[in-house]
Amino acid sequence: MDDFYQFLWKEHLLLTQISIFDPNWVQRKYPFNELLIKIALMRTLQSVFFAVFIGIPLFVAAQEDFSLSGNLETNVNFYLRDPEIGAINTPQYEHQQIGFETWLDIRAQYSGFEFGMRYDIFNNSALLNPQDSYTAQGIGRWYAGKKIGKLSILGGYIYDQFGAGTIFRAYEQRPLLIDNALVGVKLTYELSDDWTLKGIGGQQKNLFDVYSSVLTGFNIDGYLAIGEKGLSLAPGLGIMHKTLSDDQMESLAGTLSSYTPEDFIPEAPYNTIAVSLYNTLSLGRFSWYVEGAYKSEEVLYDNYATRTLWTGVESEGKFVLTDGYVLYTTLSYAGGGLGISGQYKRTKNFVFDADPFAAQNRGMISFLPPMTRVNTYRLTARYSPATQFLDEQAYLLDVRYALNKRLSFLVNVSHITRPDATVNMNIYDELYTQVTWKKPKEWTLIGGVQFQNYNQELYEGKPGVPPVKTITPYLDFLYKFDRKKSLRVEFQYMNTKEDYGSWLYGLLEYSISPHWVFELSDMYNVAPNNKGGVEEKKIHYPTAGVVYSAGRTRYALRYVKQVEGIVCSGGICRLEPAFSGFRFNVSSSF
Amino acid sequence: MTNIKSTIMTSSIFHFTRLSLIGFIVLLFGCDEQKRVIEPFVPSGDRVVLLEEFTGKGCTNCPKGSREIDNLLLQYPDNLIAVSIHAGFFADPEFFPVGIYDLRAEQSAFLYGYLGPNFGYPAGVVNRAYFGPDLQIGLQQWASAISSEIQNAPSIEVEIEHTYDADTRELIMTVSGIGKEIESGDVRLSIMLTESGIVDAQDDLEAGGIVDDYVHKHVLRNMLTPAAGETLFQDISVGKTFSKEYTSTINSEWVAESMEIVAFITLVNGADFPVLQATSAHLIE
Repeated sequence: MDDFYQFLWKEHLLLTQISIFDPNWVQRKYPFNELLIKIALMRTLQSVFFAVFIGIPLFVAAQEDFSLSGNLETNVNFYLRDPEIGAINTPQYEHQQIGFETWLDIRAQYSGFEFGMRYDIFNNSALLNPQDSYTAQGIGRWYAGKKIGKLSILGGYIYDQFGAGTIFRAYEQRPLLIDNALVGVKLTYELSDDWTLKGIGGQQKNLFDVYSSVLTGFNIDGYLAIGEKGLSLAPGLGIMHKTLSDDQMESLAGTLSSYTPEDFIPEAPYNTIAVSLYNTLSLGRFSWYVEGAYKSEEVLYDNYATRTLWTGVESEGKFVLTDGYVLYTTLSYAGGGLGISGQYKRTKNFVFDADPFAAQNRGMISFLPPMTRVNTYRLTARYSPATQFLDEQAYLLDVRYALNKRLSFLVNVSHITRPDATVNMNIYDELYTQVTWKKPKEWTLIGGVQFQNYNQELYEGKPGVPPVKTITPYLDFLYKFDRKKSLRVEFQYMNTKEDYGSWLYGLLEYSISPHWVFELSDMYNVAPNNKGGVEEKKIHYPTAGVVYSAGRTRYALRYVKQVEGIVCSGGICRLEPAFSGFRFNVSSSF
Repeated sequence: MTNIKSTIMTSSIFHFTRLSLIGFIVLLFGCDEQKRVIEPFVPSGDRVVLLEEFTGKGCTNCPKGSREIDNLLLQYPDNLIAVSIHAGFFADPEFFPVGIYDLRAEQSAFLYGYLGPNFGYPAGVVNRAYFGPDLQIGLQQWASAISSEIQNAPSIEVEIEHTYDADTRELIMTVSGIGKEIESGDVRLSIMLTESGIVDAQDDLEAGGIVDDYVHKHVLRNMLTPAAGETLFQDISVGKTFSKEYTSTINSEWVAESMEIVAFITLVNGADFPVLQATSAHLIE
């Protein structure tokens, strides 16, 4: 605390010592040194900021109920050019050498009030576009809120969702630089212990700016217990309304006005309404979630629609006027060592973005849950399917059975198609099996096989490539030498004739609890796919790292050589180029 | 008793809220919204817009951008000039060894950064003006940006006069112009040489992969001015004239018959440097 007051005092002294009069004022149009004025203004703003977010909370720190917390995440990448694996020709490899990202969060709570601020820094960062460099910094988030009886008020940058997020999900996924916070206000009212009404309004965040469309939404969530046999319902209803700004509409109209008569759209609505109705029915060991969402007509970009150009040539991709829907359901049973979960999802034209021109992962208002198992092993996670918003039908079945405390089994099957497509209809199949055998407190052995059929042409936009068919057996063995020391060994082999060919992966991870973890791994292209008859090199992709944890702070340093691949988070994926270099990460909660 | 009371109350609240929300939805859907009427755009006036496209032979979606440029040039034959700049990740033969030629110009890398950031290919910059937070926009937005720019009358006129000696391959040109409106800023002239009809391989998603005899058009070959333009004067006033002469020898590997000279004026004010007017001429008329 003393340090902080000393810091504030130094800031004050610095501010008062700055002379805003330029010594050469006579020769200048204005007697002020503009730079010094800017610095003074910045410092004033900083002081105001510190006063509001830090000073006032600290002033009341002596009071009861006060809490101050935060967390930090920093990723530093040191780039080492490596033409052999394709780690070249981005600004980072060519001349920048170092890039980093930092998120610093501070949160304060006092007597029903809550305040928070996050400062984001991106320097030579590859997160926004893996093929380019992004440099920017500023306040990435702030919020202030208060609970008054049954009413909660929150203003600023808001993360929240309705139901499963089908019509609205404001969230953050740092590995893909998705930050879809709603910049506006949220009011939550507790109708009763079991019923909550929520209203939101604002604009979606776009890096350090906002999209100009306006979003408004209502959500009601509830819970009903029926009878005495354990039957319960958790229904909900969400409504999202989007209004395009005049600028967005003018831009859209400008594009539509250039379309040929075959593709011409005579009228475009400013407003779109999405409605979602959902319910979880629970009865004993069964649970059934169902959600249906409908979105009114809007002009959206269909990547696969055929457009006739004025030249007479046909090209893929155009704006279309259409409505959309999603049906999502999951039925699960859990009890007696058995767990079964079946899921189904049907999506049609459910692109719901904050800007009609937003591309890839930018500007998404809705979130459609992925319908595949989230794999974590290096090779089993290599090919992950991205959620398809225009046309997708997906099934997932997950069965787990624990024979006893030492032995359990898992089988997971998923199947994804595009029913209305004329090409690339079957896009993903996966069969994943796993056996877990353990001797408690001594060792755990996990093993299984994964079978995949991944439509690389569709998911990665690589024309003419065949579907990637893989068979991947894997083993994961954890041995505890004593209460502190343990060794984990991973082994995976991916057999495939497509894409890069077959891979071997091995990992050694030695942990000395609670501070140290040492890692050593290698991914080896054991049988490369000799594309076009050219013999490809068998390349090693080693990684070596050390992780040190001290309390709630974790430091990690790794040397990484990583092959190009898909990085996914919650069904949202993108292609990441190869990486070669060092990675340093610090994460801390305080 | 309390439980029954609570259940009745909860039920009432639920019904009330449900009815209210259904009513609200019906109301919203029932609103007779005044939609934006779209009318076909017919270009007029003498504004000539510059479209700078970033592309690469290894970029599988870029031919879609080239086809869109053909489409737009057909729509706006007198009001649009296109330049395809091969630059960045997808244009590097070291990473994408596609075809024979390296189509990157000496100035490509600079322009890639100067007109950045890039969020994916194909990307275009229309008149170096902002149509959102960034200069580079996706091909879906090009037509909109071009039609918007065409509607603004040029604040300066610019024209090219040139002679080309096919034997010595020497180009002598004069770019001149006159101010039409008052503008403040650093007025710069940029001159680009482009070549069309270059036959070389290109990755093309819509064609099903690598197309060996793909015809590349409007490829930036060189600039006769500094890449960010050459300063002519400060501020434009009505009637203010300029005339600049340039001489260059055309690379013997380039086909002069397929080349164009592109000249444009930018108005630089810090990080803003929109194109005020552009013009072009075939190297061999």
